[in-house]
Amino acid sequence: MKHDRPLLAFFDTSLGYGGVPVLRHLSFHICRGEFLGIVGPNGSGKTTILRAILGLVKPLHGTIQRSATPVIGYVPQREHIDTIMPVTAFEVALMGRAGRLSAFGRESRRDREVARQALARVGVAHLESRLFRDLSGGQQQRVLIARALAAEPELLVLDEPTTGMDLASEYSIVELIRNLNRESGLTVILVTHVLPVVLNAATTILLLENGRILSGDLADVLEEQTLSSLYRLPVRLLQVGGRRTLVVGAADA
Amino acid sequence: MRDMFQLEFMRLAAVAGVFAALSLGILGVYVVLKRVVFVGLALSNLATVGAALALAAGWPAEAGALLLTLLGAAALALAGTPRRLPAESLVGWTFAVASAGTVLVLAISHRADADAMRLLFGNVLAITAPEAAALATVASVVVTVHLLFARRFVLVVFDPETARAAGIATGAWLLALYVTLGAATAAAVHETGALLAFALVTLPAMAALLLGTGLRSAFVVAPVLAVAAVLAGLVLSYLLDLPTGPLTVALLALLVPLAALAQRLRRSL
Repeated sequence: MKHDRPLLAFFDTSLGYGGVPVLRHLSFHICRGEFLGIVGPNGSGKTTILRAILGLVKPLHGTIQRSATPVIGYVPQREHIDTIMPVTAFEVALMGRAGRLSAFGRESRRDREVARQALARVGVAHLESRLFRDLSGGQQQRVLIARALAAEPELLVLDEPTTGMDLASEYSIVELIRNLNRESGLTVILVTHVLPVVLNAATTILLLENGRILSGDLADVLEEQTLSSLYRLPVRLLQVGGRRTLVVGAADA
Repeated sequence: MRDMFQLEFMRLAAVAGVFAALSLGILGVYVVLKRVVFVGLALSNLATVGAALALAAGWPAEAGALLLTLLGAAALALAGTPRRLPAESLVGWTFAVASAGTVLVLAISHRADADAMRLLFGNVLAITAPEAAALATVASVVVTVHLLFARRFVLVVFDPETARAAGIATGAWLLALYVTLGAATAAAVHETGALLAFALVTLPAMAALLLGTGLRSAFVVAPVLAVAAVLAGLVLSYLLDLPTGPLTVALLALLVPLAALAQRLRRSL
């Protein structure tokens, strides 16, 4: 479900901290209904882009245009949350309504209903009374996605949602996000340092590698020659069972 | 026991103790969960040096305690630390300066001598009616703020990054958390002493978090335990003729292993 109206667009943007640029000449956009994967190694500036998308970092140069002010559902890195706090999965999901309430506001019956629906949508309704800290990594990630969905967002932004997960959990989380994009038409930005995470889910991609920035439709950017040049390694792109996979390195003799 | 509470100083001590316990018991849950237990210690020592400075200058001790603690709380909430040092190093610095400052001010100033012991160790039995009223007022304001804005404080402590992304002024709410902690601590310190104020802000919350199954229960159980320990401390100190503050701290400390034991027993059942 792709629409052509940009929800968010970066025009020749430089981003950084304290006047020192981390990224220069950044231009990309995301339209409603798209799934943008932002991929790059640690220190490449992914988090800075994400903070700019969230409005937490102002550009040093260039502009960031937003279609009105889109409601953003944000899923932070799970490791950034201190799980010592004894809050239930439902209480975490309900926090997603905070941006829609004034400081004096109390959650209404509808707010609670929306939070419960969000938990059901990501398949963890049965865990609502369990403490967040007692859940597995995959379950915690689903609860955090539910919290972002409880904000009734136009744009879902996820920061490294599969870090530290086993293969099965990683697959189910990526499939969940893919379904939210494909079936519900939710616009998604997923930040990851692992390209295969978004290989079969994203529709557009922003690749940051060795100081270079590549962006565009996934099919255009994902060419063996482009990837080999970008990573300075032989990269082969294969189709297995209708899904893309990458093989890195020279073939053994 | 009825005779005991017919004495005015015991009634005033009970009122002051209950209000200090309520406010510090609630705030303690944030302090423990945010892993800033020593902020409580640093603030209670700032209140002490503030009171000492005020006494030395001939001002009301409570005003000095409140002013310096609020300034310190705001500084701890807003100030960053160099990247090479952990955040709590600033708390340690504050504690060291405040502790040494109190002793130095008391040593230099002869005007503060008379009140020195009370300032350092507290004596809830020496509290006057206006002092109890002031403590009750500050504690009531703090508790009201935290009842009204509990959701915001919880979100900002649990996940400040997401709170910021949702457009919530995280820095302002953290400042409010530290300032209310500073106000409650400053109001309590001159009457209870730095040690009991620190114990009230940490030990009941620790016990409640060990006992409880959720955050809501922790916010109820912590102040209830704090109030119970303060009242038990008053009664026992009267009956056993022991100093009230240290005895109350001992009772509060006992709550923690008892709560841990209760949790173990509950798990094994």
